[in-house]
Amino acid sequence: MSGRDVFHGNAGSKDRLIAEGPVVAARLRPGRAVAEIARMRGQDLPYVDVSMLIDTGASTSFVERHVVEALGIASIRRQVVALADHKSVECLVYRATIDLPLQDADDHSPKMTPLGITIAATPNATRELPHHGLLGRDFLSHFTMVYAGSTGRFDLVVSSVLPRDR
Amino acid sequence: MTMQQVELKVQEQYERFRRDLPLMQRGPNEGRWVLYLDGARGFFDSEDEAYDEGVTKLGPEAGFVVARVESIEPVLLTAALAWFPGG
Repeated sequence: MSGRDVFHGNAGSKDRLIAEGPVVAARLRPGRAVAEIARMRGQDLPYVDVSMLIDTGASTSFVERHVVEALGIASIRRQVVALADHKSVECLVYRATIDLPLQDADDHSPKMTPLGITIAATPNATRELPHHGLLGRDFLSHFTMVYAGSTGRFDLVVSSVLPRDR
Repeated sequence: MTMQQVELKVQEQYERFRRDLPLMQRGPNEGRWVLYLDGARGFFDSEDEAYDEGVTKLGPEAGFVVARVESIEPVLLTAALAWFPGG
């Protein structure tokens, strides 16, 4: 992979980017190793199409629990997450794969690129939320983000070796 | 094994990991990643390596834990929650 493949985000307008923030449409699914085992067992491979808000204020990435439950994967640890009003909640943490539509730096063709992602599952929302979850600074550590607020666009330029789909 | 049973196993293993963590922190593996199932199965330089080993050698439904050998601290959902004045 080239070091400068890029995800192009486009909210449609300056005002929509202000209102909605930088949102990434992607696909979450079990990682490659889990998928291979499922294939050998003749099981269907689940996936969930998600919209994720990029949040530079979040150190880690989060998704609502029902999303990872739909993937049928096991958690790998717990994480205590601090919320507003000094409340906290213990979240399950998962390894999964996120497929991002990146544009190839060389031939400019779009390609779905699988990345390994560690993601904590929050309790399910009690009201409808605009996004399925947050992509935090752990995810962003692999990219240079260009936020073009005046045009309603943002880019995630690959700037390091991407975490493998495992 | 159902996913609910797997999650109960992960929970049990995570509690055991937390009890063993202070001892692990006193050794040479502080800061590394541990693959844990009824005790440490190996220490790795990255979470990816530990997870890969767990899935391929133990199986995705073994109920293993992958965690960093470091003190367990809460994380903020997002920094805005900590900033809000008067909160």
